[in-house]
Amino acid sequence: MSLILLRKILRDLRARRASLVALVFIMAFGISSFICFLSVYRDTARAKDNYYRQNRLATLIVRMKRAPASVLEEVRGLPNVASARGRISMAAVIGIPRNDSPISGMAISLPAKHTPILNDVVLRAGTWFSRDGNREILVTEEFAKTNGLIPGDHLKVLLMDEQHDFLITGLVSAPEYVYLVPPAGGLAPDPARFGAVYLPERFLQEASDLDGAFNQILISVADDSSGAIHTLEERLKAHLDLYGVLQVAKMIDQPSPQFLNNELENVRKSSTMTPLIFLGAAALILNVLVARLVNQQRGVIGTLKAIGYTSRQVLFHYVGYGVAIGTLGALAGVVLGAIFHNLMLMLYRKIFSIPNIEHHFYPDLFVGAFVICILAAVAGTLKGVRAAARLAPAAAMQPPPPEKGRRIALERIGFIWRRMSFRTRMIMRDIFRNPFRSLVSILVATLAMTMMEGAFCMRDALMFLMRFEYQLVMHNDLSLSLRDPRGRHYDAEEKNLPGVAQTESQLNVPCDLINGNRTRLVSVTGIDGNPTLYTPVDRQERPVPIPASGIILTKKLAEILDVRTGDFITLHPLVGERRKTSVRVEGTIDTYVGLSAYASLPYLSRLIGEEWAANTLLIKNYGSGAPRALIEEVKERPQVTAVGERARALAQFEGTFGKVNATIIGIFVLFAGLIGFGSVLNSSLVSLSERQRAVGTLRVLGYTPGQIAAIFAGESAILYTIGSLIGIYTGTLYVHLLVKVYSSEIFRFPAVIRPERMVQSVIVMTCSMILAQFIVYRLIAKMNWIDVLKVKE
Amino acid sequence: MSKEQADRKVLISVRDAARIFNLGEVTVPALRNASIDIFEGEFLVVLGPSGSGKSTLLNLVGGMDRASSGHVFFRDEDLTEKTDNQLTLYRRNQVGFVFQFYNLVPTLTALENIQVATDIVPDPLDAMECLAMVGLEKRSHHFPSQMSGGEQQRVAIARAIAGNPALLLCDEPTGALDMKTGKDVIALLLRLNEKIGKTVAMITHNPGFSEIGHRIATLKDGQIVSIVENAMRKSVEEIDW
Repeated sequence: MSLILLRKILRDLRARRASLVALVFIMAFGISSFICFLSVYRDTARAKDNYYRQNRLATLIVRMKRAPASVLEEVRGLPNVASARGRISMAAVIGIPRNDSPISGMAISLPAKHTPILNDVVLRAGTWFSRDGNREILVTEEFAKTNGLIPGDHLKVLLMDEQHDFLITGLVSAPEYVYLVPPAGGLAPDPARFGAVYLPERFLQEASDLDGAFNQILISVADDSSGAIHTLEERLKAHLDLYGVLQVAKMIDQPSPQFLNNELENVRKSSTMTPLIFLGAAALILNVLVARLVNQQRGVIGTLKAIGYTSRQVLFHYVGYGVAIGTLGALAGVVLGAIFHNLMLMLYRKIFSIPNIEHHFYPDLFVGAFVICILAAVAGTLKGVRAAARLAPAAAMQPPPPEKGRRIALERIGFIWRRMSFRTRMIMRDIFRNPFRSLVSILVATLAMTMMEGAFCMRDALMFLMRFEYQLVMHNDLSLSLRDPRGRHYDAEEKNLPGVAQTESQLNVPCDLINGNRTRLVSVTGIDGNPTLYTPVDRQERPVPIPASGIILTKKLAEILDVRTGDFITLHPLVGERRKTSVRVEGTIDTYVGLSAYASLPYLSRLIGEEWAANTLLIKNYGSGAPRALIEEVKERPQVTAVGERARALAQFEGTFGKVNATIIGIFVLFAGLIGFGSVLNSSLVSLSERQRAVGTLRVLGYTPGQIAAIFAGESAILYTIGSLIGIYTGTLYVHLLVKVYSSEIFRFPAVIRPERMVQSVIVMTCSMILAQFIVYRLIAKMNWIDVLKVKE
Repeated sequence: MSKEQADRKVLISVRDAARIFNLGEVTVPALRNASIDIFEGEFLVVLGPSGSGKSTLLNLVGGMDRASSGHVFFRDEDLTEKTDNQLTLYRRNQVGFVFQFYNLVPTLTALENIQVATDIVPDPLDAMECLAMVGLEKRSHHFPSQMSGGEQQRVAIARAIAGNPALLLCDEPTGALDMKTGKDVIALLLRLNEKIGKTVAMITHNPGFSEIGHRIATLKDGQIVSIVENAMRKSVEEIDW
């Protein structure tokens, strides 16, 4: 394209900057989300992969009761095993001076001397164990930081029945714990209440009565195809059955890696959905703008064709507007994207304990951003451009044919039309005589409304999920996880603890649920009698009765296992007698978090070969929260391996996701408002430029700028009301879509659609419309209408 | 035909050309049975009231529109047989247009408005020299909105000649101007005709202007009613507005 015509484009665009600013922002936001989400995805995935690789994260993990060290050699001899490492991992309760809160921990063994091993740790500060290393400990960095611990400090750890005092020699980070979620009801990381600590292997073997033995084997494989891994899993199960295999699982299916992958997957999904909506809206708005531009430039097009420009050259010239606008949008988007990218990485560094999540620039994303943005903008010029190319030079030199003066459909309905004021009739005529523009206004309003409703509802879904888990299902203040199942007497003992109002027992048993070749390891919860502290409810919030025999599955789990109510499945408890039993599925319930299964406590006890057993104690206090004396008391109990605080877990969840979520949703609502604003402003400005003479005439007749602005505002209001009403409906559909897209095994979001959110969305839309109309009002007030009337159209 | 006439070289030859517009259910014959030659180097004035078919004739000659029947020849080429792209090339290389309302691109400066034309021609005149030829070299960086009507029309004329066309077609070039500036513009066109030998065909509905041309073609109701030689050419100063 010639430089001269490029200058023409830039000057034409500058003259239309009021419409363009909003449009460019809409594009920029779409593009920025593309850049931000994909960059964050890549940065984090890269850091994660490096971290996993450099520290040799195992492919498989085998949990057993006890396996002698000699088994390792056998495992190493199995086909497809590249390397294997035995270790000890056990629950521990950690005590920190100056901190009364119960802290759950995981004590894991490490070789006394630092050598490259599977599931290695990175020493971030201090030193490894010293030569005799008996009373020394390494602590995860996040945990240490949060609790104000540094190398040289002391730490109390309760292992089995004995309290030990350790000297912290170093701080480490561990690839298998990038997302430190406490057991017993936690969903969000809480490094103040949960940490992994590392002890010399020899010491931990002695302390856990596992002399010369391990309870975990980590395995890396030679062939990582899923078939080969599956074969190995089966082989390991059979081979190690003797040692009480609790679980053979892929490392990436463990809570921390699984959560991270789930999060990254969601980020990747967002990187396509968001830009699609925003760029689509921009392309629609642009069509109106460029169609009007072409209409205004009929004479110019005619002249260019008269002096020898081909239709194709004219076409490219007007496509050039799209390219220029797309370039501007992409430029702004890349800048905005870089800012969002940075902010989101900061957040990720807080949530995930991955060292070196480095910020990278991705030139291919920038190129992609430009291509996508320019393509969208060019698509936005097609309507106008086609008209420009088709225009014959002789016809283009003539003034445009006068606006069609024919009656609109509404005029045929006499009794309505007669009751309309002159101004309402003007509004109606303008709407019906510009069907494309009106349709775009409606469509964009629909889109903005849909998006806003989606944003609001995702927040509500998260809040609902939180309330559901922590307030409808759980009613306890504390939960104590016990090392081994206990009989009824334990429950009675705890009732006498200070401040305890009520206790309830639960039995949690890890079980393989098997249906044909479908298997899933889940924790089956045994519930006793008529529970009041933990009451599974269905989506209608009605308590689900637990049958005396048989099992209740969450719907998602039933789907995975492909079973229905009335079917029988094989239940294989991984503790106790480990007898496989065929059990009947008595029902399914729809829940929002994780995969769980419920059975009656006595029934589940019998399945593991006990009369009556419980390994979790739920406690309700007098008053709210957990009193200090009670916490002090339970902390010291050797049989307690973890203490969960419901209020704390709720606060932590709210703190981690609630805030992030609120920020993201705030940005979305803002930009949805911007889309509405941009569209109203654009269509009003186009309408104003077409009707300058009409405005001038009305001014001559004595109309005030406000009265004239009301005509434009009326048009927008009608179109936006229609668009918003449709948007309320499509928003509901969109929420259902979002819920589907973002649901996983970890979280299943409910489609929560609250009427007040629709009202709020309407308020935001109305505000953005009023703002746009105010600008239109100012333009009308400033318009030199006397000149307008003098100029030939 | 006089001997003098026979010696002249024909640049454009219109033969039995008609142009009928289909406006939905009615057909409007804008031009009927038109036959006329335009000679190289002449200044032809096309005269007639509004709606007489002047602009339609000019559009056919300029390759802006296609005859419904008949033929329009440029030298030996039949314009009615050309494709759209060939017509575009014809306009680009052989014709310069001057319009009643100047038709400058409002967002380009005077100089740039000329460069828009020179950009696409293989052997153009220098844009600045063209501007100097119409006496506006000092206003090269002004936008149309910063210039008077006469100045804008002079820029339009500069643009028309910049591609060094064989034919200059002017559709009511003084229609939007006052008398003095109108005369200036006519003088400029005459000068281009006389000094550099440009063939000019100029439409006007003002009979007073007809006296400056070599020949005067008169149209009425879509037909050429007369073509007369003008033996008594007047100078610009002598014409009545």
